[in-house]
Amino acid sequence: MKNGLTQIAVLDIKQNLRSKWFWSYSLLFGGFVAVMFALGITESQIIGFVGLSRLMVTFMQISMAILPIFVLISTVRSVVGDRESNVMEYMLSLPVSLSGYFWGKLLGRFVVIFVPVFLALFGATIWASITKIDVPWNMFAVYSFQLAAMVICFLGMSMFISTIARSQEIAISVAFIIWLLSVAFLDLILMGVMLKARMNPDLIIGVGMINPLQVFRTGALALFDPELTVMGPASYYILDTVSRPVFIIFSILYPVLLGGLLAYWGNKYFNNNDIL
Amino acid sequence: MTENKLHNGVLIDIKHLSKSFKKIKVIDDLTISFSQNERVALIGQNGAGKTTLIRCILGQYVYDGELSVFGMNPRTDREEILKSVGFVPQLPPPLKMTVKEILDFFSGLTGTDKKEFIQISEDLGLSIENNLSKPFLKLSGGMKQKLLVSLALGRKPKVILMDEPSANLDPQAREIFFQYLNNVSKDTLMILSSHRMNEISTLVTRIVEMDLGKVTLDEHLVISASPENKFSYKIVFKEINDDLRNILNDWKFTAVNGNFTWESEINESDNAKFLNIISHFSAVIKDMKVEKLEAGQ
Repeated sequence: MKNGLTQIAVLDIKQNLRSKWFWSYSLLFGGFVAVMFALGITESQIIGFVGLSRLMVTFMQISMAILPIFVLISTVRSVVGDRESNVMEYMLSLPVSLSGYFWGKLLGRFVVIFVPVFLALFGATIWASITKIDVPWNMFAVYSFQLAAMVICFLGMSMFISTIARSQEIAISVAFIIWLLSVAFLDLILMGVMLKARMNPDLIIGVGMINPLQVFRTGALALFDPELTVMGPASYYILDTVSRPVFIIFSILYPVLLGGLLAYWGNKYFNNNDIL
Repeated sequence: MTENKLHNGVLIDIKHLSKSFKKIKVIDDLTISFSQNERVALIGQNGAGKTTLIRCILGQYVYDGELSVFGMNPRTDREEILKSVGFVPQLPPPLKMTVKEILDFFSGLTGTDKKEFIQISEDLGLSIENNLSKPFLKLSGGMKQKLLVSLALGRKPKVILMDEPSANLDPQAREIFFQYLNNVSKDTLMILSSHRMNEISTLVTRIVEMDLGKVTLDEHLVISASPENKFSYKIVFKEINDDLRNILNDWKFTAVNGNFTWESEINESDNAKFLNIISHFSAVIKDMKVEKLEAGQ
């Protein structure tokens, strides 16, 4: 294990547990599940979704809206923020390897971001079991992996930006642009326009498969066989071309690989350049 | 670094070190070495390159040239090197950890018993027990600095790097702090970057002055002096300002015949340090008489 990785990760977790954002964020996801149960969403049926699966799909849609921007904005300041505030000068005067510091920050951040989301989803399954609602455990497992994959993807992206950016302002601006582009290239917006303009289907699928947010969305809906109106044109097109099981595996592996690769480059840059 | 140099006690060896930021050279072809037992005052104006040099030694910058600490490369062997280096920064970092978490973190990372840190803090006048649950960020400037000093010294490092370490300390704490540094093991290499030369003058054995990334003065102050021998000084000044007056008071000078003539006796072992300091005021010295007093004289 890299020297200092565990200590840095634990330190980061402890620090975040004390911050207001963490508790607001946890409350947001936990509260969301509670409100869904209170509103009786598990008892309603819309376009084929019913019971806990209905709640889970809605949960994934909400996660898709909140998680990426949240991960980007909160994490993108971590390395560059430590650099600007002289925290890094001090912390890296200690016997901590540069990789240990980098991966420790990433690991700590993963725990504080993923655990509340996972616990909210897991809490929903526990409550459903207590109230005698059928729990789709396969769906729960796939969604847990997809959520973890998306967090890893945007964490890797954020750490990469945070490492190469020279100021927090630049880092936040870049993160915001990336999020805007990810949202713009969702099938419901630009992808729909591309389809309407009768662009090459391969190009449409290519753009859809590159955008991690689109992959997440399509992957989350791929467990069902819903109508075009629910999935959006690009997802429908993609799933019509690629088999569902293959796409579900892709929806987990691709974000992890993308995030992992960006984090690897971030760490490499961190190791080979001025730290301060 | 060769084994031979390590045997000669050279802990930090720098050859043709250069460091630029956006084409501006902050360290310019610097060649210098620092050995065990040395207490070095690293002085110079803002922008002279002192902090950059310290950061290069800590492996925080990439650079051109050669730099070795304990015979190792600070970039590639940083963990091994930093196990034996204590650092006190110029500005206390805004750490959000509580004092207890800091002690746990340092103890876990360096394998040092927490009692070592606590003992030094108490010696410096910071009660750890009363502040354990306080975030570091909420401590006063002086308290932060005392804690940082105790974290650096508690590890019993072979090299101590301090960048303006006493800047946030009140006069009383500063005095205790320098007394404490005086008691640090003589085997330790200590590099103190400071603007207050008069404060550290009695502590250091070598003065390195930097300007525009180069060494402009490198003076070893260790002399084979007899502790009993003294020098008698009588200095007449053309004018006197507060800085000079403070220095003269520190060196136990007394004014005679008005405010411009001062007299004192200085131990032979401190003579070189005093001459170095007073040389900065040569423009206002009108006359100076120095006489060596042998032991018993």
